[in-house]
Amino acid sequence: MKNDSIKSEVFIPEAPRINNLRFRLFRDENDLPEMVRITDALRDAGQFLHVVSLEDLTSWFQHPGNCDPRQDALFAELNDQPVGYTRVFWEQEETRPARIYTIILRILPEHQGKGLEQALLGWAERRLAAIAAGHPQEMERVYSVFLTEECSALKKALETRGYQPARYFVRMRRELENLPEASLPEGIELRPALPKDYRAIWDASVEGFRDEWSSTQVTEEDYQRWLTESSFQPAIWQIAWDKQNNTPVGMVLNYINALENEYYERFRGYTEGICVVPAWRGRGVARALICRSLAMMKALNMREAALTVDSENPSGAQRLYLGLGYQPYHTALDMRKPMPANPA
Amino acid sequence: MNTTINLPNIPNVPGLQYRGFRGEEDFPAMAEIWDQMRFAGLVEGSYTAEDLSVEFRHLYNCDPFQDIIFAEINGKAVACARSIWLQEGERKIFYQYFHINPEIQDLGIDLPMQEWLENRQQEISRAIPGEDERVYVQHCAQHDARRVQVLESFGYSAVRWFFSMSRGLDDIPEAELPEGIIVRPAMPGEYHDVWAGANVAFSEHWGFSEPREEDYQSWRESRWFQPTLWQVAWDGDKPIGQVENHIDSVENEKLGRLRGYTEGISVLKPYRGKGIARALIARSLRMLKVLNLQEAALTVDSDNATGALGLYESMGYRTYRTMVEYRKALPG
Repeated sequence: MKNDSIKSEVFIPEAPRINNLRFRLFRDENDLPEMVRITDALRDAGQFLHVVSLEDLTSWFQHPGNCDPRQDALFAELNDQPVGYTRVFWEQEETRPARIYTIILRILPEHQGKGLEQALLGWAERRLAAIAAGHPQEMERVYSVFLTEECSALKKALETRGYQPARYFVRMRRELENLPEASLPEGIELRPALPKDYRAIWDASVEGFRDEWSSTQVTEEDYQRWLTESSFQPAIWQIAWDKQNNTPVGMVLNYINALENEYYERFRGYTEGICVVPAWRGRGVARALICRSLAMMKALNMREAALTVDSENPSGAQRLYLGLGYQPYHTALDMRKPMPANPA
Repeated sequence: MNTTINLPNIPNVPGLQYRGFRGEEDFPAMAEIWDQMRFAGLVEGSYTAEDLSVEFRHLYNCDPFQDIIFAEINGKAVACARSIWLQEGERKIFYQYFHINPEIQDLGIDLPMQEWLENRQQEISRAIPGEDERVYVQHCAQHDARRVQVLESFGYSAVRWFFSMSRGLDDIPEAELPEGIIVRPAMPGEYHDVWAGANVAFSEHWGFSEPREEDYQSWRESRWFQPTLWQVAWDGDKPIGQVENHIDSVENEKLGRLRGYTEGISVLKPYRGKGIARALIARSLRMLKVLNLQEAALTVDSDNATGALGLYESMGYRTYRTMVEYRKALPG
C-alpha cells in the first residue's frame, strides 16, 4: 500500500500549503467508490443534481473512451483520504475541425475554495496539453468544464484561469397532469426496440444530434459504454420508425433514475435523448414522441418529467418543450478557454 | 476433466455418452437445449448462458457437479437433467429440471437419465435426516407426449395443471382501486419489502416453498427484475398488492413478437375481494400498451384457491398452453 502511494504520487507546483495534502493518480476500480462518495457529497450540497451510481462509474472505467484512467485521473488526498478528484478526456467535434479537451473536477464542499481547484485544474490542463501535443495543431482546441452555477468556488477558479461561459443549458420539468396530445405523421409507426435494433437506434441518434452545438464524434467505446449505463433502459424508449424502410427516424430515450428518485423523494422520469433525423424534421415527430413519453411516464406512476436543453439550440427545441408545458428550473453551463498552441 | 457417467441399459445411439457438469462452459449448451424446447412450444421465456450464470451464482440445495447429468451425441449436449430440493410446508420436494432437444426425444436417451436422477435424489434424501414426506416433482407441457409417457411409465401422477394465458392489448377493461389504496413506484430501498410481501401473499398457495435470500439475489440480478414496470399497491407504507411486470426482449426478438409478462400477481389476504388485483392488472395492460407492446401473458395455477383463473379469464386472458405438474413419492 505504502509503495503504491509513493509510486503514483504526483507533485503539483500550485498546490496550496495544507499539511498532509497529497496528490496521486487513479489506481484501479477500488477508487470508483471514492468518486461516488465525493459526487454524493456535492449532490448533498446542491452543487450537482444527479445521482451517479457505482455502476455508472464502472461503465466509464470499462469504456473510458479517449481517456486512460490510470494516467488521466488524479485524486487529492488529505491524511490519505480522497477529498477531490479530476479526470480528463478529449473529443473531436463532429462538424468542425475542433477538439474539445474536457475536465471533470469535483472537490468535497468543505475543502472547496482553499486552492485545491487551482491545483487540480493546473494538473488537468497540463495533462490535456501533453495529450494534445500529439494531436493535429491546425484545428481549434479548447478546454471545457461543465458545471452548475452553484459550484461557485470552481467557477471562480475557472474565471481566474481565463475560462468564459460558452453555453448555457436549461433544465426543464413538468408535472404529469393535463398531458398534451399529438399524433405522428403518416408513414411513421411506434414499436419497441429489440436488442438487434440498438445499433440502428444509436446510429440514428448520432445523425439526429449531429448539428447540435459542439456535438462530438462517437466511437465504438461510446457505444459500448452506452449499452452498460444505468440510463440505458430500452423498455421505456419511444422510437418512431419509418414504415417504408423500417429504420428509426426519431426517438425519446426515456429513463428513470430510481436511486435519484429515492434520494430526492420524488417520482421523476427523464424524457431525454430527444432527436429526429433531418429528413423527418418539421413534421411533429418529436412532439408526438414526447406526448407519448409523458403518457408512458404517467402509466409508470411517475409524477413529473424532466429534460435538459441547450438554451441556444438551433432547432428551437426549447420552444417546443415550453409549448409542451415544461418549465425551466435550473441552469448549468459549459465554461471554455482556448488551449495555447504547442510550444515550438 | 473426465466427467463421464456410466449408465446401464443405454439405448443403441451412435456417439451417445452421459456425463456430469463441467462448469460455466456448459451454459451455452444448456441455453441451446432450452431454445430448442421453446421453439417447439414446450417451455416459456428465454434462458441465455448469462441467465444461467446468474442463477448458478445463487444455487442452493444443488451441487451442480453432483446433481446434473448431460447426454451428448458425438460430443454435443442434447439433454440435461438437474436436481434441486426444496422445503414445501412439512414435506421435501425433489424437483427435477428435465430438458431435452425435442428432435431426438424419441431415441430413449431420456430413460437412463430419469433413472439416474431419481437415484441421485434418493442419495441426497438419505443424507438429509428427518421423517418428513419426500416427493419427486417435475413439470412438463401437457402436449409433450414423450415426456408425459416417460413420467407415467416411471409411476408419476399428474397432480396440478397450470395454464399459460395471453391476451391482446385492445379493449382493456377499466378498474378502479378501492378507497385508501394508492399505486406508486417502489423505491430501491423497498424492493425487498415488495418481494417479501409477495411471499406472504403466496404462502398459502398450493405448492409454496419459502423463498430464500438466494432467490431474491438471483432475481435481483436477473434480466426479469424490472422494478420500473411494477405496479405496486400501497396501504400507507405497506406494499399490499402487486404485479411484477417484465419484458423479455431476448425472447421477443427470437420469437418475433411483442409481449409483456403480467406476472407475480399477488394481494395480501386482508385486502382480497376489493378489486385490487383487477385494478393493478388493468393498469399493467395499459402500461404495456403505451410501451408499444402487442400482448400480455401470464401463467396461473388452474385450481388457484383465490379464483385467479376466473379473474384472468374475465379480463380477457385465454389459455394457449397447459403445463402439468407430476409427482411421485420417494421410496421409503
